[in-house]
Amino acid sequence: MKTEIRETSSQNTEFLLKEANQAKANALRRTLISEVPSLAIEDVKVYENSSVLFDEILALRLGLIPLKTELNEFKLPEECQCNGEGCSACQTTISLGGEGENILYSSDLQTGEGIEVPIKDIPIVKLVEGQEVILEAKAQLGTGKKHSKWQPVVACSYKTYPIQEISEQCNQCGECVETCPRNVYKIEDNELKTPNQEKCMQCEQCVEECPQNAITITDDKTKYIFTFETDQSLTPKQILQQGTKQIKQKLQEFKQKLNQQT
Amino acid sequence: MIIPVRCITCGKVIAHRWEEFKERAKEGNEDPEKVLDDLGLDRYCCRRIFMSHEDLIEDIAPYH
Ligand SMILES: [Zn+2]
Repeated sequence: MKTEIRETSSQNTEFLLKEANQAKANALRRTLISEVPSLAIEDVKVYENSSVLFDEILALRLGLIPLKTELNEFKLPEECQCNGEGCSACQTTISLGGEGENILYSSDLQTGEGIEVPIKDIPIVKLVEGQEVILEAKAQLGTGKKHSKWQPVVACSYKTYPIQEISEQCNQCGECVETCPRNVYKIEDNELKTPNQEKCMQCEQCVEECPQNAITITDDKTKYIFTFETDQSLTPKQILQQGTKQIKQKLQEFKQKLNQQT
Repeated sequence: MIIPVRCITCGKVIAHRWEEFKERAKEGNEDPEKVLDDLGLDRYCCRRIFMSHEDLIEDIAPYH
């Protein structure tokens, strides 16, 4: 399996997965969604909340705020020496306090060392005069398998590499150029070309419209266009590295188990 | 009540875009379609949350 990075920023990534197959591409997608750990608020202790939002809503909103950290600084609670009871190796405290008239933002969260709130202006609650919020929260590592707040990727998906085959019957009538919603085709020097080949979503509208029946749409089953966004808790590079590491580890465990059986 | 932190469907963090959207499209007179494009909300799942949201917390807060 080889990758060719197309586009990468702090949030969006697009790459081409080569020499792969459907199973491998999907294994990668599922691992990125459900197995890559990230940090999120899990338990909230509310000392004072006279805002209009219930404690539960407040806790839910806090849980959904992305938190940035180095993955090796914390352990997953189930892998920690404390057996998931919560210690400094698997847990960190974050506090929030404020009174009206004010809006509390994610930048008002008081975090420990090494933990950053990447998106600073998420409104948590709006307070009017006389209202107050004081709370303390515990953040833990977790995976998307348990709750989507720990899922570092958003809209993680892939599509097979589309191929438009144009036969000799093509008479450059231009019907396909008109009808294609993704502008895949173009007529250049009396020849039908596909400058936007990868944009094709295989709707086959061109196949239907073509009076000469000159177009067939197929796909290259060894190539996949893979895209995902992050919630900024990890960089795309970290997510991919962690994801491939997880797949390797799981396969090794599987192999070990098989060997024990025989 | 208050803008959801993330898109209910895809999980993208959207809450931090709300204030700008409100200023430019709801209170100002810019075209909401263009503002949403500017804010990087490409998918229709995220866009419908902005289109249909009303900040009720401002009306309710004083009576609590
Ligand atoms: Zn969405």
